[in-house]
Amino acid sequence: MNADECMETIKLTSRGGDSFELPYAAARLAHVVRDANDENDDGDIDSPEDVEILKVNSPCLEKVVEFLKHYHEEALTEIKTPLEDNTFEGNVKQEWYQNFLKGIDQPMLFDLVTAANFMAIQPLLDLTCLKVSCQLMGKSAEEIRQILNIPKLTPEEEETARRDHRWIFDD
Amino acid sequence: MMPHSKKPRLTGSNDDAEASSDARPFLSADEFACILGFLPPKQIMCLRRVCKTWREAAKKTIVPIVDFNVDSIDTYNALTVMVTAMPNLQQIKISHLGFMHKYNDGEDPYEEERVLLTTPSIHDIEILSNFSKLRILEISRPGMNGRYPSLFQFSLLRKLTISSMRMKWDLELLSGLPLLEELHVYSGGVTGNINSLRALKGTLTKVTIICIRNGSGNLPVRGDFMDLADFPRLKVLCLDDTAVTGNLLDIDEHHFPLLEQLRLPHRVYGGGGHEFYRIAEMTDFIHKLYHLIQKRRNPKLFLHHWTWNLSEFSPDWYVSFCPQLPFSIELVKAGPRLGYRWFGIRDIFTEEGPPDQYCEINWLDREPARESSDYEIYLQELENIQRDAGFSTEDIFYHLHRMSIVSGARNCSGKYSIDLDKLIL
Repeated sequence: MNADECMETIKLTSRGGDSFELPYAAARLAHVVRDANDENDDGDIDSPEDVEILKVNSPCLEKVVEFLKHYHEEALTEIKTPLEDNTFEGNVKQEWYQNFLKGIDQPMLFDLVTAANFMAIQPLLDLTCLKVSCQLMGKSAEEIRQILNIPKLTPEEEETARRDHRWIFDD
Repeated sequence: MMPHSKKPRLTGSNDDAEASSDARPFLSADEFACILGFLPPKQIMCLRRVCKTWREAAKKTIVPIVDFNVDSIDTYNALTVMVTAMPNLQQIKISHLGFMHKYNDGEDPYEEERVLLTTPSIHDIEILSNFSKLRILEISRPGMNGRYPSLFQFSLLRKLTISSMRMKWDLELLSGLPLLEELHVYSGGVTGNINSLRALKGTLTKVTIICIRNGSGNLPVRGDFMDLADFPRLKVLCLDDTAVTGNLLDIDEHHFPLLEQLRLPHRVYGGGGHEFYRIAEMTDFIHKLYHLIQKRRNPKLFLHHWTWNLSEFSPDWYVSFCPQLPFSIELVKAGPRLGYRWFGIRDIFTEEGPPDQYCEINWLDREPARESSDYEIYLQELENIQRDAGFSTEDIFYHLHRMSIVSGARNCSGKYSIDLDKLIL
C-alpha cells in the first residue's frame, strides 16, 4: 500500500516505556519510522509496525508526537535563510508552531533538537534549531558560555581566538 | 499489547541520553551545526570560540547564503581562517584588497600589469578552491591578472559573476561548474565560443556577457546565439557587447521556451542596433518579427532596448543639415496593440541638438474594441507614447521632399508626419 495514504495507526514507545499512538501517515515524517518499516523509495509498505525510540524520554517523545500529528494537518512553512528577522516569531509566522515551543525550558528544547536529529525529522530539527539560534542571536561567546555554563577559555586560547578573529573585533 | 519481538528498537549510536535531562547542553557538534546554520558568517565565527564542540560544529555548518565580502586585509585573513574553521561558506565576493596588497598573479599574466602593480604584499587567491560548498561567487574588480583555472571547479556553484579587466579565462572552463544557473560577465579577459555553454544546457537560467574590448579592439566571445535555442530553463540572455552572430528571425515558437529577456549584439541579424542596408529591408524585417511575436505571444521580448538602424553606407541614407534623420526604427506597444515607428537618435557622443525625435506610429494590430477592458489601458499608454511623437522638422521634410522620396501631410499640430515606409527606393 502507499504509505502516504495509510490509514493505520502505530505506537512510538519512549525510553521510559510510554507509548504514543498516531497515524502512520503522520509518523513517517520521521525517517527512522520509515526505515524501521522498510518503506521503499516509492513509499510502499506492507503493514506498519510500532517502533521503540529508546533514545528519547517520555515527555520529549510526547512533544515529538504532538508535532508529527499537527504537521500532517498543517505543514511547517520552510524557514528561509538568511533569516528575515532576529526573533523566532518573526521567522515562523504560523501560530501553532509559535505556541508549540512557547514556555518550554532549555533542557526540553535541547532534548527536542536531539530527538529531531536522531529520528531524522527535518522540519522539527529546523524549528528547534531556529529557536536556539534566536536565543543566541547577538550574544557574544562569553555571554553564551555563561548561559550554557561552559568553562572560560585559557588566556592562551583567548589570545589565539582574538588573533584568528580580528575581523570580528573590528566593530 | 505491542508485539515486542517484532518491534524495531532504535537506541542511537552514543548512549548519553540519560544526561540529556541535565540543564547543561549535551548537543552534538552535528546538532550545534544545525543551530549555527541560521546565523550569519560573522556570528558563527564568533560563536566557534565558545568551546571545542562548537569549533567542530562551525566546521560542519552549512553557512547561510549571505554576502561575505573579501575587500580588506582583515577580511582576507578571516578567509584564510575559514578555510579550516568554517569551510562550508556558500557565498563569497572577492574585491580589491586595498593599497599595497594584491592577489597572486595567475598563469600567463599581462606583463605590463605586473610591472605596474608590483607591491610588497601578495595574497593567495587560490585558497578559494577550498570552499567546496560555494554556491555564489562574485569576482568584483579584484586586481587579479592572468589565468586561475582552479576558480572554475565548484561542483555546487549556482551563480558566478565576474567583473575583471585582467583575469583571463575561456568559456570552456564553465564545464567545471555543472550546476551553474546564473552567469554574469563584465570582463575584458573572457574568450571563447558561446557554444561552450552547451555543457550547462540543463541548468542555465540567466546569461549576461558584456565583453570589454581587448588590446586589439576585438571582442573575443564569438559563436551563434542560436546554439542556446534549446536551453529549456533559460530566462535571460544578454550578449550585448560580444562578437556573437546569428539571425534573430531563425527563432521559432519552440526555441528559448522560457525566455523573458533577450538582448543581442548588432552583429546578429536583427540584434539590437543592427544596421540594415535598405529601408525596405527594415520594414520587411519588422513585419517578419511581428509574425514571430504573434507565434511566441511575448512582445515584451523585443520592446525596450531594441532599435534597428539604417546603415550610413545605405544608398537610402540622406545627409542633411539636420543631424537627426529618422533612420532608426523601434517597436511600440499601447495596451495590447503593437506597432512601430521611425525615429532620429540624438547624438549620444556630443549630446548636442534636440532629443530623440519620433515619427507617428504604424500600427501592426487593430485598435482594441471600445467596449473592451483593454481600451482604457490602450488610451493611457498611447498618450505616454505619443508625448514623444511628432517628428517633423521643416528642414528634414524640405530636404526629403526635394528628393521626391517622401510623401507627407501637415498634422493637426501644424508639423509634418513622415512615413518612411514609403521610402522604397
